[in-house]
Amino acid sequence: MSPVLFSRAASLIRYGLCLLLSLGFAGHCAAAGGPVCSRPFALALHEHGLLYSAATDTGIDKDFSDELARRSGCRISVSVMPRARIWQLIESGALDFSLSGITNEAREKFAGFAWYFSNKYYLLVRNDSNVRDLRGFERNPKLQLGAIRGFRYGPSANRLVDTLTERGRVTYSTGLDPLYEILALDRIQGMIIEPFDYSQVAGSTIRSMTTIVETGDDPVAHGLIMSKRSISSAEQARWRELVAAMRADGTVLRIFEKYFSAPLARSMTLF
Amino acid sequence: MKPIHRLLIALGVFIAASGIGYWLWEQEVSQNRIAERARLNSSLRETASVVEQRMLAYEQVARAVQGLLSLPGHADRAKLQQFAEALQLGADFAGMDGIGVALRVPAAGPAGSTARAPVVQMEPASPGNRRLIGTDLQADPVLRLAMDAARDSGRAAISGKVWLASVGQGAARAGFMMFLPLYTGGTAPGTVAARQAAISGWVVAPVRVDELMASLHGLWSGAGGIRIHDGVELTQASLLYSTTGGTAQEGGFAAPLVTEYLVMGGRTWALAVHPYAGPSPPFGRQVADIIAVAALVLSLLLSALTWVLLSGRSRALQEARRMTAELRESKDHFELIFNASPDSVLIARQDSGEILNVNDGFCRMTGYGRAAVIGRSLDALDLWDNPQERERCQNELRQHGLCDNLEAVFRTCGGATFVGIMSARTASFNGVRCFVGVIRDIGERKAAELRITHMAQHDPLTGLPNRALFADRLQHAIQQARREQSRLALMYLDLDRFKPVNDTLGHAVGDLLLQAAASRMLECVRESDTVGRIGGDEFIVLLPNVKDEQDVLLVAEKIRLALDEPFVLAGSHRISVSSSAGVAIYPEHGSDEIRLQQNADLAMYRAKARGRNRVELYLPNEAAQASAGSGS
Repeated sequence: MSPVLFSRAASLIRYGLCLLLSLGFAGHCAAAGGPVCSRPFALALHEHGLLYSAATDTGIDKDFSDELARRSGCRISVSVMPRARIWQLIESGALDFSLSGITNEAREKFAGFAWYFSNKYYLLVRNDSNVRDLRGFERNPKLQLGAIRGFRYGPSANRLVDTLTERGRVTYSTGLDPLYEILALDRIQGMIIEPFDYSQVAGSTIRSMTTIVETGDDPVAHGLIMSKRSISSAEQARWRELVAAMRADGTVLRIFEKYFSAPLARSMTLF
Repeated sequence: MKPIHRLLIALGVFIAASGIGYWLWEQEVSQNRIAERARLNSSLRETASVVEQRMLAYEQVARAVQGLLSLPGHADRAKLQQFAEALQLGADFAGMDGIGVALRVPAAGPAGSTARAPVVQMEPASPGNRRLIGTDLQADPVLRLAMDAARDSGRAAISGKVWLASVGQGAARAGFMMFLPLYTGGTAPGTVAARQAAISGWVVAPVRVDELMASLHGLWSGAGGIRIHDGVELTQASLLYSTTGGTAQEGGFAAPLVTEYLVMGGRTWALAVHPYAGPSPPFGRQVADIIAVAALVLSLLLSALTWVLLSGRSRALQEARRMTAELRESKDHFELIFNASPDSVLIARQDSGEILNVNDGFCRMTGYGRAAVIGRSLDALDLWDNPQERERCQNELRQHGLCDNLEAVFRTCGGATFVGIMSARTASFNGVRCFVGVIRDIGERKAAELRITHMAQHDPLTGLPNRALFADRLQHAIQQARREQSRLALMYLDLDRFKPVNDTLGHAVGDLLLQAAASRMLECVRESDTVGRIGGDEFIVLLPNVKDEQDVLLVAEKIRLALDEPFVLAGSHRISVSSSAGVAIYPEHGSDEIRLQQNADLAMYRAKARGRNRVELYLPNEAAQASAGSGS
């Protein structure tokens, strides 16, 4: 059976089961028009600044996933893993959801998205590197860039990372914290950051030794990542409707306002 | 070009070629480095991924125990033992020494004392694991940090580097402990504070990193050794594992080729790839070395080739200059010889006779100016006095390609003639068929020859034919008379009293007398007659074509009278001599010259005998009488 036929058959079965279960177990099924909770879903978080901190089990993505579970009424098993592994599992269909993802041509082939915020990327560079823009960083062969495996950014930042990767000038990490540490140790002289990372920069010694450089890219939309292998197109549409409802009723804005100033939260969520 | 310049250019070529070679080598090395780094990155990423997977597997085991212990009524020692045995932890869980439980014991002492967390059970019950029983894990700050992290997050946390006792023997090995929190009530509360309040213990799993990595044998196929450090500091103290077993130098390990940082269970691990210290060449090094050697060799060859080319060119230029100088010198020599030659040399086209060049000798000899003749036809010069001789020369040139020593009379610009010998050769100048002609003026030589011939045949004092020439003329005259049946006369003449003149007035006056006598004798004969001197004061006269004796005697008498006249010599000497002459006529008095001479001589002696100053005709039989008389 082809994946498409399989997906359609599974969808029909889910609808049938939901209809059947709705007679006695209405609480287990989403409200009319919402996602069908035919099975427990798997959602993975990744540690990244204000998005999620495993040490405190808090963050924007944690709040978002809680709200997603609450609204859908579905049982969502949350785990934490590196971003690169999340993308591998999304592609394979072993993982249903993740959060705060951005798309590109390759990801469009295996993932669907439900956008709920956007933000810009910046280059954080050491002051002693004397870098004023991305091209300046690229031109100096002595400068090493730190990056998180599996992360993509805006067009200019992507080009910088890809170019430097070809030249062997990128040091990879599976998390953000080691990059700050080796930036302080001068093993890398720059890294791409997002607004979620401001608080860590502002609250550490990194702030005094670094400068934030504009990439020149427009804000990039982030959203709920849905595996196309495990979530059918119809179901993806329902999840998008749910996320859109969260944006429309101000839930997303309120989550962001917990972590950012009101203007920044507004600019990130109202796009 | 000077040698130093050639050397500098060759050196420049060597430097340029070496520079290009160095650039190529550097590009190759750089590409190799990038390719090697990309390969190492890929291998490192794979290794990191497998390590993460292994860590998740450990966590899953710990979660299983966590779940078991969370079930009401199942948290007893036997159940955990059975569960651990049922897990059948095999190679996929290598490195995990065991799985156990540490229970939190609240502080029972005075205020400020901290809670304890002794290990209450550790399966399997190996000697190393048994040593852990009762150990207060909270007493170790490294472990306490991880336990607190697990407690606060509700998730698995791993400790920093700790030394774990080996199973049964040997020194302790570097490793870490994984903790998973146990809460009162089973599940993790929603907030950190609630989780801290509800913590009841931890699932504990000691893991030895060397065994963890040994179970991944074959996974790492990079060109360098891999080291794993706890945290981002790459020091000996933080070293968890090393494939090479090396130790850090002072100040830490050397900068790794590639480093990747893993964040797992709240800890960061640095996976660093170091270059091999051994002789094994890095990936692609041989190609770079070949490029370097080839570039060096090619640079040397190229510079050597440049040197040879430059030297060759210089040598060729030197040779060309030398040849040009020699050619110029040769030309100068040729022109010098050409113009210095006393002979006349001309070069003319064979086909048209156009004169291409003449030398100074030609100008001197013919009187023509160089500009006046160059470009003109040789025929137009009218150089030959006799056109037949010109034809002859041209024929020889056409037939034999040369014309040797052709004696001819040539005409000068002014119309004068001179005798010369001409030699000519055909030649080719700039592809034009020409001939080179040389004319030597032999006028002086011819005059000298005539003088010598004259001297050989004439008396130097009087200029009269001597005995030899006279004999020749006499012979010819007799032959002619014989052919024509004519008559001739031969007269012998001797000056009378000549010796006293010589003796008294000297030979000079005697010579003058002989010259004057000869002159008077010539005045008395025809042009066809010959007067000769045959010695001393003896003369001989040949008179061809005479009619009879009277004619002969008339001439003889005329001579006698002329000589009988006094001579005034040397201005003041008045000398009177006379002559005695004898005449013989052909054919009456002799049919050959000998006979005629004898008979004329006999007649002259008779004249002397009869008193001198007389002319006597030979008398027939006089010779016989003389013979008889002399014989009596």
